[in-house]
Amino acid sequence: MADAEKNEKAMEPAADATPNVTEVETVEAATEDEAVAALEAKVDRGEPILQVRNLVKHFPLTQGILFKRQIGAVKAVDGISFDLYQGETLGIVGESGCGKSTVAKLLMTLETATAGEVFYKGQDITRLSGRALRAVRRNIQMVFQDPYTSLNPRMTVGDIIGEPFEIHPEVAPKGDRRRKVQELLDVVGLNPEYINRYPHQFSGGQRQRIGIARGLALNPEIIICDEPVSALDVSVQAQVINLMEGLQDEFNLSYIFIAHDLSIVRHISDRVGVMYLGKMAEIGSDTEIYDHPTHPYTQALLSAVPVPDPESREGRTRIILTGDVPSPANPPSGCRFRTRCWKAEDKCAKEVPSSPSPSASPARIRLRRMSRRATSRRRRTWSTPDAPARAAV
Amino acid sequence: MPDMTKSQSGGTAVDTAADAGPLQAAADAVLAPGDVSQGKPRSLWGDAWYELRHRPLFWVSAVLLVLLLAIAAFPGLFTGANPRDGDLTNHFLTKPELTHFFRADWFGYDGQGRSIYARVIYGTRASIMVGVGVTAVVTLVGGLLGMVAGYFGGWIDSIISRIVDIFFGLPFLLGSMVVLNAFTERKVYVVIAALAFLGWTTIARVMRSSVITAKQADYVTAARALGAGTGRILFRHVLPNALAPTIVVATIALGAYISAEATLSFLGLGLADPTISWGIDISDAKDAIRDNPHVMLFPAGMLSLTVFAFITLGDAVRDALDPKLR
Repeated sequence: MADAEKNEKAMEPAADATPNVTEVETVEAATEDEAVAALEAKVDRGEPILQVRNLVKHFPLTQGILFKRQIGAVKAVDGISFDLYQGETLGIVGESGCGKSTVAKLLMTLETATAGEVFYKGQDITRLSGRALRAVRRNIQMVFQDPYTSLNPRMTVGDIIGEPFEIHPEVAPKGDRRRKVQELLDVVGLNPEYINRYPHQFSGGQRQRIGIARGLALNPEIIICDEPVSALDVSVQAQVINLMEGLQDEFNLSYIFIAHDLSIVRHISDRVGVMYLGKMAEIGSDTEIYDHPTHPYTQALLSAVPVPDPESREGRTRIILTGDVPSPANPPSGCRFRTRCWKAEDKCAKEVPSSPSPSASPARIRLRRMSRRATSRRRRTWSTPDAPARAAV
Repeated sequence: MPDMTKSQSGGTAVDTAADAGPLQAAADAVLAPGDVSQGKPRSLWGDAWYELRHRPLFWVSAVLLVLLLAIAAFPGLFTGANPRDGDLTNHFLTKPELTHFFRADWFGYDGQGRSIYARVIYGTRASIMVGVGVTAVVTLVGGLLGMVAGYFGGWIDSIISRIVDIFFGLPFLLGSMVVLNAFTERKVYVVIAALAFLGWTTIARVMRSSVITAKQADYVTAARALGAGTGRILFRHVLPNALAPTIVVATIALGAYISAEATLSFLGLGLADPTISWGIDISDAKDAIRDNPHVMLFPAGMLSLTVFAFITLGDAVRDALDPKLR
């Protein structure tokens, strides 16, 4: 029953990490107050689960046909640091080409970092290979942007969700896999009978659920979501976001949520990092970023968010930036934002501003999440073989 | 598993979604019905087959091909006459005699007094063997090299692509003439080797480009993120999604190889006389074409029919495999 143990661990990692926290299972809390109190005890977690330090990715620009020589580099990610805590959602926002997706690929070790470290539970994963890397991959999974290209059209849903078990046979014994796949389908709100269907027989939202089920299969602790809803309809976006929030509560997942839709990021994130041209401009809790942005770029970005109410729209000032984003192959000296900043001074060109603290505003599970947990109706433990029947409320 | 049993009875999305909140249940019910109502699920290949079955051209070419393959495999079933027996009293005889019906001289006789019908029937095997043989070799060699070049890229791709460019620069027909000229005894396998030697580049290019497209897909990244090895990614994810264009090109090229064999045989550089081939018969007939056009008509007609059948099949398969044309 090593499997059940692992799941148990995933459900209560805080208790595992800090033994002095009393065994309080959120799920069983009778009242909302109790649940909130229990959660507050959990909030002060010790070590972050993922620590990113000065992560750099430069793509070389080469010239010449036979003898290639490097003439420069696209500085897609240029020294990024942040922390991710257990059970937290860290949103990363920024405009196109600022390096968000490269960060996701680096965290998944799909790209090799040029410099810097990514510590998963204290272990640097950027230099891992072979078995050690496979073990880390079990714990860090990804949900992709486009549900139409992220599922192999020649494979059935059962094969797609079952593939993680084939690659990591230790997670599920062979005879058990079909049942596990069906449970996963159930967990993400799809009919378990769809197991033999092909991806093109599903709608976009259903496909994204399949992608999430594949990401969940190995019982990961961290899920990196690279614009997971931007390819979906707004109504379907809400469903998928709600599903992801529910799964986070069930399995105590940590999300890195990359998006350019600022209101969705605000909705789902505990903390938000704002990226500009390969650098982290600002990191803070969602209220800090959205209500009191300090970085001029964040202010400009937020002023571009559409406001549905026409009356409040009248009173607000939009900050319109001039010029284009500079080329990441040749970024401006000093502060990256100075070429478009209305507050730029002479010293901005000379001094590189200090990066925001990676652990700024450490995880605070907000009241919304607390009440969400306390009143959440869906309780599932999909990978515990002899789990009791679910509460049918 | 309470809702498992529930959904088995209903079989619609509404059942499972019921405990996931009313909004979701409603949405799934809206999204699902088109998919769910139809019974058995079909794969993309299944869809392609479904599409094929509803195309008359596919059936025309399929029936023709089955007939041609049967003739190639068992020519004795289709004629009692010996294609090598020449009776000079039948020199260019055209009038069919009823008594000879089952010896099948309805196509008449050639200059040597041999039954043209029998020669056409026995010539099928050589043409089909060359066509299928060259296509098999070319698909295997070109497909493999193209896949390796496309998937691994870098210097491996550079080397393979330059070799492909060099071979592509050689004219197909002239090149195979030069190669075949070096052989005195030109059996079927020699012709296959010569044509394949110059023909693999097309498939390699097609395969390379479709592998490059397939390997950039998100599902390949997803497999890598799961920790899948190169073999699994290549054969479970990339190859099945890169195969369709190669199949189409190979099917159409098969007809071209058959006509190339006939061309070479006509020029006296392909198959040589003891072998029976349409190309040889067309070559023999060229001197008599003014007075006895029927000697040319039948082998040339069979050749055109065979090439037509393969190219039509290729077209039908392409249409069926390309979802954009649906």
